[in-house]
Amino acid sequence: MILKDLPSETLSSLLKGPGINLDIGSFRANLRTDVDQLAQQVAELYAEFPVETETEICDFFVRIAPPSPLRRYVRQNVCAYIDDLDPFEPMPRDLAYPLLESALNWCVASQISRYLLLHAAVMGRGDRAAIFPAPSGTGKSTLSALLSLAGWRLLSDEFAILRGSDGRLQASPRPISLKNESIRIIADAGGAERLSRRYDGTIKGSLSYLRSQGESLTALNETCLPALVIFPAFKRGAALKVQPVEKSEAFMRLIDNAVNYLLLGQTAFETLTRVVERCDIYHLEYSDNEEAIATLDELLAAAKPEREALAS
Amino acid sequence: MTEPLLLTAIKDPASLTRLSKGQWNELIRQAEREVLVARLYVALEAAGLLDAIPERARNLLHDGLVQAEFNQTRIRFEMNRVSRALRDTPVPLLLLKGSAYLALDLPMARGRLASDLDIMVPRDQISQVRDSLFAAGWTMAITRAYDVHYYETWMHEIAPLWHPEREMATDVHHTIAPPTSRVSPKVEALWNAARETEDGQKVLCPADMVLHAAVHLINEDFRMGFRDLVDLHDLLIQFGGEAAFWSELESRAELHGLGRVHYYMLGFTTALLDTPVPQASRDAAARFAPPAPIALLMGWLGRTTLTPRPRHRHSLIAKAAFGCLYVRSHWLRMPPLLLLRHLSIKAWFRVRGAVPGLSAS
Repeated sequence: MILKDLPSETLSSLLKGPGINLDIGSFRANLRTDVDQLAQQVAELYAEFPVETETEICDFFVRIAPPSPLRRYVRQNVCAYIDDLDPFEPMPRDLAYPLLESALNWCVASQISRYLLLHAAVMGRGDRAAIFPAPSGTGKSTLSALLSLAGWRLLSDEFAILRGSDGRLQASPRPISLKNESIRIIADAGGAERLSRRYDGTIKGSLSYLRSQGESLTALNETCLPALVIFPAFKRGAALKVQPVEKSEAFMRLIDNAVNYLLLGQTAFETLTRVVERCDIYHLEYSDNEEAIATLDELLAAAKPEREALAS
Repeated sequence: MTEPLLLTAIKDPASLTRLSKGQWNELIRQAEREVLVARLYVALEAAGLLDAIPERARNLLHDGLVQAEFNQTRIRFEMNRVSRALRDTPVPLLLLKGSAYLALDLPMARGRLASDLDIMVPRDQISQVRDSLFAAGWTMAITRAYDVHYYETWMHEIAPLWHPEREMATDVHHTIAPPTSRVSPKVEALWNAARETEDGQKVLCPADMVLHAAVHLINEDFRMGFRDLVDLHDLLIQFGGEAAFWSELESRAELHGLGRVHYYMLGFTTALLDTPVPQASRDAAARFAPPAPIALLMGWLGRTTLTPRPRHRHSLIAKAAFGCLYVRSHWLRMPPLLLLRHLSIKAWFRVRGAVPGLSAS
């Protein structure tokens, strides 16, 4: 069953009770909340995600609720409870949805050591995928949203999830979080229908989320071969520039972007080595989105990620 | 009341193949609280049952194993750094607790999540050791002069040292129980009986190692009690195969004045985890038992506090039990007048911290 098949009254009562078990790709999260607006927003943004209503073994248990009964009425705050922990500051109730997204990111980053995680967006076409490692603010999410609108499959906007056994990328295509000016860019590029409402006044400014749909969800459990690593840099007015990056340099930069490199030790080293050996790696400076997307289409098509398989 | 899932899982790993999905969720949360997730993975692996549990459960247990292995690597590396820092300081050095289990490559070490390095050196050389470690980049983990003084003067270890780059604590001991406490292990005997690992590192002999783990649980406040109890269970199984071990254990307990601790250890492990202890050893330990009412009370406190904790908070009764054990641990640690002085000073720090303006004085 997918979430939009669940009647809204059933959803709301499940969320107030045992919770829903949402398959977010690679992970299963048990979600509970008694905040009605949040239930609606989850229903909208996760509409096409598989959901289980019976008890399931879950990776994460997240509950969004007011810290005390009083906070239902006065200064309406909510907290994110993960098991018995609440690692975040309380937020105004209106920002419950961004809080939930932060909580899920926190869960993945701090509790998962079965995969090598890079802080990166991952977009695919067919069996191949491009990794966009980038600190916040380089336009990684804008680029992945644009690619998504251009028909690429979203594997993940926040973490590249690399499997140690075969070095392939797993998906967790949660909604892409867009900040400030990117919201308008994506709306203008034809994404208006998929965008959530705006959340103003977060630490990152205004946020809006792009609903995941189509192939991203029908292929939820299909992995991709890493074929490209792109270090993107949006630079207003700049001419398009594609520069190959030395493999050794790329390796070091990927370590900087890794979430659990030290924790995984040797597995992490071997997994990342395979990524670097397999992928074509470029620095991409751009200002024109369409031009950038056309270039990425070409680069992905020209990549030869299978060569590593031949060598081994 | 049904037995907590984690308790059953430790006693009988095969019980894990029969859990419902909801029970898995409950068990993994319990195991996380007691830092025993990796321990469950290793138990299933040893029993050849990893494929008999659901894949999602196996993934979660494996996450715990990766964490534990990472900490083990860090501790091994820290041992290496400490040896290097003490290269030019001719001082005998002995590994304690989890660090020793690792150095000995005991099977139990693989599933054990340890967080710091524990070493022991002779008391008269401890300041030399500390100076060498300071020179090599370690710092004090605590800075309040009174706390440092407390460790130096009354405890069995100096204030913990901290390596800021590797974010790792090292506890430097000179014996295995506070000198002010009512037990007084024979330090010279600990050193004389010490063994060497294949890599030439010193560790306590098996009986002393077990007794140290037991003092750590039984004369402290039981806060991390279930994990400590599982350590004892694993150690007794590890060493108990040799018949000589049990008589050695009893005589070392007597030598170190740890008869009572020995008695409680055998009582708690057998009662809660069905640890295989020879009946003769249990009978022999009875001579170390306290008067009957105290034995009954301690038995109850142990059962209440050493079972894995329930999901949310402790019941009032469990809180009271922990309170009793806290008082007991302090009572055992220092003579009454010294304890009164120590607690008054700690209370004053608390008042001073709570009242603005006073802290400047």
